[in-house]
Amino acid sequence: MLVWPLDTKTGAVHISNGDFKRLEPQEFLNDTLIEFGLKLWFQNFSEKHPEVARDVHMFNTFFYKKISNKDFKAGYESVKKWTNKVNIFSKKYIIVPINEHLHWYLAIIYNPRGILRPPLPAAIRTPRKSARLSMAKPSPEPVEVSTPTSEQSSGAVDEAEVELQVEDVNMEDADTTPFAVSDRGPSEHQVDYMEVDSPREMPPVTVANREVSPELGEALPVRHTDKQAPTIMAPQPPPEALYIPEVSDVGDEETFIFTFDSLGGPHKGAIKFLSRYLQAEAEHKLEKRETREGIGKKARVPIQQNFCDCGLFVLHFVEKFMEKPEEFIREFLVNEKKSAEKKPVDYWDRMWDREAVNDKRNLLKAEIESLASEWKQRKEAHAQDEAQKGKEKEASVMPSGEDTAQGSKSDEDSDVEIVGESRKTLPTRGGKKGQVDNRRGVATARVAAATPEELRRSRGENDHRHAGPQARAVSRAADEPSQEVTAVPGPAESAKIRAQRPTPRLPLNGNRFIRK
Amino acid sequence: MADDQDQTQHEHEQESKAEADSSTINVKVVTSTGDEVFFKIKKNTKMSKLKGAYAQRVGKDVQTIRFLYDGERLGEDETPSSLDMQDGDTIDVMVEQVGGGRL
Repeated sequence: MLVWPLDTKTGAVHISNGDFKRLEPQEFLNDTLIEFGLKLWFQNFSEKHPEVARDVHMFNTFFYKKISNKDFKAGYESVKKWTNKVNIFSKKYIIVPINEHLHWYLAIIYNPRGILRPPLPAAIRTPRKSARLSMAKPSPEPVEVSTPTSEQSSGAVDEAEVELQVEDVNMEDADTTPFAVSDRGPSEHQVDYMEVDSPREMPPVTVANREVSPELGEALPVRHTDKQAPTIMAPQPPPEALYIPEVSDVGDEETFIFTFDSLGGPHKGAIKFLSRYLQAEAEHKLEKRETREGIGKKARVPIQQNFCDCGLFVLHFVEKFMEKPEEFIREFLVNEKKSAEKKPVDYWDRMWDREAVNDKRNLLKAEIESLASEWKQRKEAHAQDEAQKGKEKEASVMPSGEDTAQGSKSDEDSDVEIVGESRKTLPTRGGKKGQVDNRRGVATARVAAATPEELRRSRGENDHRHAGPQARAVSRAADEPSQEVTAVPGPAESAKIRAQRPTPRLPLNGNRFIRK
Repeated sequence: MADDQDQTQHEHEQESKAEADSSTINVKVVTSTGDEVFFKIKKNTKMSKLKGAYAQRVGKDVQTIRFLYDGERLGEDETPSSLDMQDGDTIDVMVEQVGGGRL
């Protein structure tokens, strides 16, 4: 029904009528629709915010399936080539749509390069946490907090500085509420910030914190003093060294892996796999072996009210999150502690524009329909160009009775013969012809049920059967009549493999094997 | 008219020669569970054909499987040549994923 984007080949999403029907109410979305939705969003996003879009890498829905292998090494190996053309550590946001157990959810990796720094010794890591707590609820402990990573992370400082300068502007706008987001809504939320006693967002921080994150402390001289300063222990608080944490410096510090699940699941497993993936990628592509883990975090998102819309939520989350990612991240981190209770009930729904999800099915439908008609027009135009060629080929194939179906379908299939193949799993024998597209033709159907002997026989048969029409084909005069698809390990070997490894039978039908 | 025909015929001959020269390559179609099917295909074989053959072989509806090459969905009309595939390359075959919410 639609192949999109219209001008691409590799990576294009083929939407069938069956896929399209999945946009009816109550229906579950499939990988094709999710990928289409994400790619469509990304195209629009790239037009609107090209500079941000450059910082985004999007994996497809199968990526997580691949890496979440029990044998992680094998899982990584299977996707290693996927990033040959991209350095994911140069990106800021990595979008990973995930399908598990008939459920769609989303992970976004923020600041992947954060993991490239050497791992923190546990002894340092723990005090850092307690130090933050101690700042929040003053309790004496900031001593061993000192200088966890000053040398190690010196590389990150430069990058941090750039961003922090930008943030500086915000800081001045938000004079009295240093951590409030200047462009955001109701003032009561800003009050919330002041009450929150979670570590990251504590506005005024002094030497204690400077030692926690020396690189950032240096990078951000802050001008305004703050009324809350007294709550912090300040051994020697030179005002120019005041450090106000912002999300960008938090991010430059660490890699965060956020999961977005409209059913509220935590997905620690996914976080772990993604973190390991980043580390494996760092090792293989950048030869960095000493890396640290990403920090997993469940993002606060609206919860779906039904059992069919999670795919739409995933699309919606990506769209909304990328509108103001830094703000969202700040919110996620701010609400680490008890602040969630203090938000208005519908706070997150409003932040996420929850209502918009309800229209999503129809919007997607409309998009697909309009793109499909465009695509159809182009295809027809293209078909006219090809008409001459196509006719010749059709005519040449038609005489073979068995190949009528193929012939009527233009030149697409007529030039390939299937001679044989071999596989490790036991084939599901026969009976599938009804489900499989007719135009695949008899030749393939025969091979499907072949034993080694049958294989050999059918090879001969195919040659014979197609020799006639092929020979008549003007366009294919020099074409080999067959052998385009051949089993590589011979039938004997294939039999051996089967005997060695009786892997479970594959499910019969496309839909059935997905349901548990 | 006759000229035209000659010319097209000539073109086709050239094309055919090129196709014959391009010979075959081996590709491996691998599921996410590691099952492999080996194919020898011509470099001008369309992916739709390979996919159809695979689907038939494993007894799946062709609509429910996806072929990925280096993580990208393969277009129906693409060929090993157009994809610049190398001998021994792997095509990942994935099965349709659906989701709505856990039940």
